[in-house]
Amino acid sequence: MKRRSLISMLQINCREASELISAAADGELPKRDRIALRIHLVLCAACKRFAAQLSMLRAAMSAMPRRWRGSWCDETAHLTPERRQAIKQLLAQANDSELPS
Amino acid sequence: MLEPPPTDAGLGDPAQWVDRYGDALLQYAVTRVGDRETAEDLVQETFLAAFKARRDFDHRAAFSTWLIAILRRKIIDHYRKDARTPAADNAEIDDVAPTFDKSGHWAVPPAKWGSAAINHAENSEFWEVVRRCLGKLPRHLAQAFELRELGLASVQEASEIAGVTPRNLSVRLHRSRLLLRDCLQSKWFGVEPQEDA
Repeated sequence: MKRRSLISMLQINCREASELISAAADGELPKRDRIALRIHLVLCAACKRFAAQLSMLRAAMSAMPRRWRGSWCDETAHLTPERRQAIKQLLAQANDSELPS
Repeated sequence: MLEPPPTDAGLGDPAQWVDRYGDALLQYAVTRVGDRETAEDLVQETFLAAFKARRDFDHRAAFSTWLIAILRRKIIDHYRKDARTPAADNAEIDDVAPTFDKSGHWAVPPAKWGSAAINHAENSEFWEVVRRCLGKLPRHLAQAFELRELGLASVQEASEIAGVTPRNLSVRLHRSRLLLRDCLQSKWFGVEPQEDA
């Protein structure tokens, strides 16, 4: 009886497998999930392809050329002169309010 | 020119903080909140909070690191104000359903993609398609994907930035990857010659 429940625990469908494949990209899976996924991938070509697709996507994202990465991360953003001045004024006011009158 | 109190020795003129660290803080914020106006507001709040708490800065870390830590907290607070309800999170899970049938099998099994990932990465058209596909995703899903896949945040950090539990972030990442995969399949890989499944 125990044996059957263990087997059923290790039987997952494609949806569950896809969740585990995604989760595995963000951290180590618990042992039971790892085993269940490994068994599923041996038997399921579709999920194996999904895993390969995510790996390929991750590899591509990490190899993103700098010019594209810059457009995503906005590594060139600058404070506008108006905002810069406004923050300085607010800091000056905060400083003034602390000075003994 | 601001006159810092004697106990602020080493931190310099607060007005210079803005010139020295303002752009870096803005870039950090824009990437995480996706909206320039909001990002500027958060940077402003960060400088004011840093000024008020400047005596707590113990010089063990770099001043810029300390500022980023304050900004991170501001970003987290910003997202918490717009925190989603548990019901909304369940809706996120249900939205993946069309990808799978009732028994949890793929409605349309994934096809085999070409193996030249590096070639795709060097192709501007590919990135344009990726950008368009991400643009179709709900903002919170695109954000989760970008934070993780661009290496901008750990799972814990991304959860805090998004204002959700790591479990909910995992759901968002799963959904974003499925949706992006579907989009790339139809807009990029599906239009290439495919090998047999």
